[in-house]
Amino acid sequence: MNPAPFTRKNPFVAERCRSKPRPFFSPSPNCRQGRGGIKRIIFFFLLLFLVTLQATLLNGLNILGIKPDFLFILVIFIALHKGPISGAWCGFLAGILLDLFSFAPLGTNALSKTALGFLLGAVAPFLYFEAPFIQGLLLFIAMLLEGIFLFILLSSLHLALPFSHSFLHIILPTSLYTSLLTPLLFYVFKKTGVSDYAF
Amino acid sequence: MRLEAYFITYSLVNLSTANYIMKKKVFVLVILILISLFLLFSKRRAPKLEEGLTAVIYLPAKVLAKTTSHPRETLSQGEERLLLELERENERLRSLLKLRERLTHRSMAALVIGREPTNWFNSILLDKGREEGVEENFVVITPEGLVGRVNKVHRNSCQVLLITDLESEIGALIERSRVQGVLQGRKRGLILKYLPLGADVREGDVITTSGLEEGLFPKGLVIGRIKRIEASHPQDLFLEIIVTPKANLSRLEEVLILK
Repeated sequence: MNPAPFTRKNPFVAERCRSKPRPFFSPSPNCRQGRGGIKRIIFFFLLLFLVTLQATLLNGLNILGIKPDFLFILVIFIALHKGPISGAWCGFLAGILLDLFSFAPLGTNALSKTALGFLLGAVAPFLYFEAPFIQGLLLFIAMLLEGIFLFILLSSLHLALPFSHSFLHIILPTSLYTSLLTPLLFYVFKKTGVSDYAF
Repeated sequence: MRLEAYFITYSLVNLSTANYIMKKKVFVLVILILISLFLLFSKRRAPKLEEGLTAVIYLPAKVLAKTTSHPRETLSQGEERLLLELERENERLRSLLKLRERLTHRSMAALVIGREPTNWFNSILLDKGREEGVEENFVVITPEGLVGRVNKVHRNSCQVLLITDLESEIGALIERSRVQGVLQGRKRGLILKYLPLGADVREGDVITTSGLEEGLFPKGLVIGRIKRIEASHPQDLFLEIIVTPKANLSRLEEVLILK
């Protein structure tokens, strides 16, 4: 019986963490057990940063009065990678923050993004979403659904928007523009390991 | 026999775990949707919660707006760019000051700190709020023309609904012929409605506020110019006129709030 070979490794670092280099901002969940609270705070600040970006600097990406919805891309990314509960939570928080900046009544975006986050998270196990084209297509369909849902919600709140105008000038262009940027942002979110920080 | 019992127990445990996870998912979804619906349909719209959250949330936007309007660059990095930026800002503020002197109303200058984050509405955020004396329905202008009216007021910030928003309707008149109509917001412009077919209208005519909405918009504020008169159908009673706003609403930086 040979004794176990003596190794001079740091006993405080788990073996899994040493095995492969991890991307910046993305520690393996095994190495950060017990730090859920901090992760969630970081994630909340990331959402806050994205909302601020959406309300300020993103206006530079405005094409014919339409700008992409980065927050929705994040919500769908989290939903696809972490499941329906994370998707719903992420959608709810992103929606509330968006509502506070927006003219829309408080709760509008929260409701639509929660529902879409949950829905996409629930169907994620049946989808293959690694190909950029599929990611764009998924986002396009999800945004169309969210747009129609928002239209029904806003109409029920007596915000009179004609459907044809809303569909042609808001829902369709926003869905197209956002879905075109989706593969790039999915790549960035994946590389930075954002989903490890989600709720 | 024992094997069967094992399989039954195993599948029951699995089933109960799956049930528990499913219940948890549905529970989380229901709670989040209920909170959203409460916020959406509560009459008072949870004002204290909204007030508290906005105070925190608008802070980064304020810092960002002030940083971008006064870029911190060392002399060696971009002296010329900095000077040019300051010169432009000086020019804008001087024209605001001139406008303020011309006005009969009391007014205050405000900085634009953010814009509507969604594509559904057209609104902007200003860095002045209740503490500075801003109230709902105060009119917002620039030296070029009308911008909109204050819609929501927070402690140190306010939200302005732009004239191009679909929800915006303003009583307007053509400056030259004094014909009156209603100006409605469109996604990227304005439409002058309810002008009779034979009305005296020409392309390039200046549109001003008519001052008819119970003191909401003072009379005579410039809104824009007529861009195009739409060919109406024979069965139509009114003309539909496309108007371009005079103020560049997509590039607003400083504005005046009329008290």
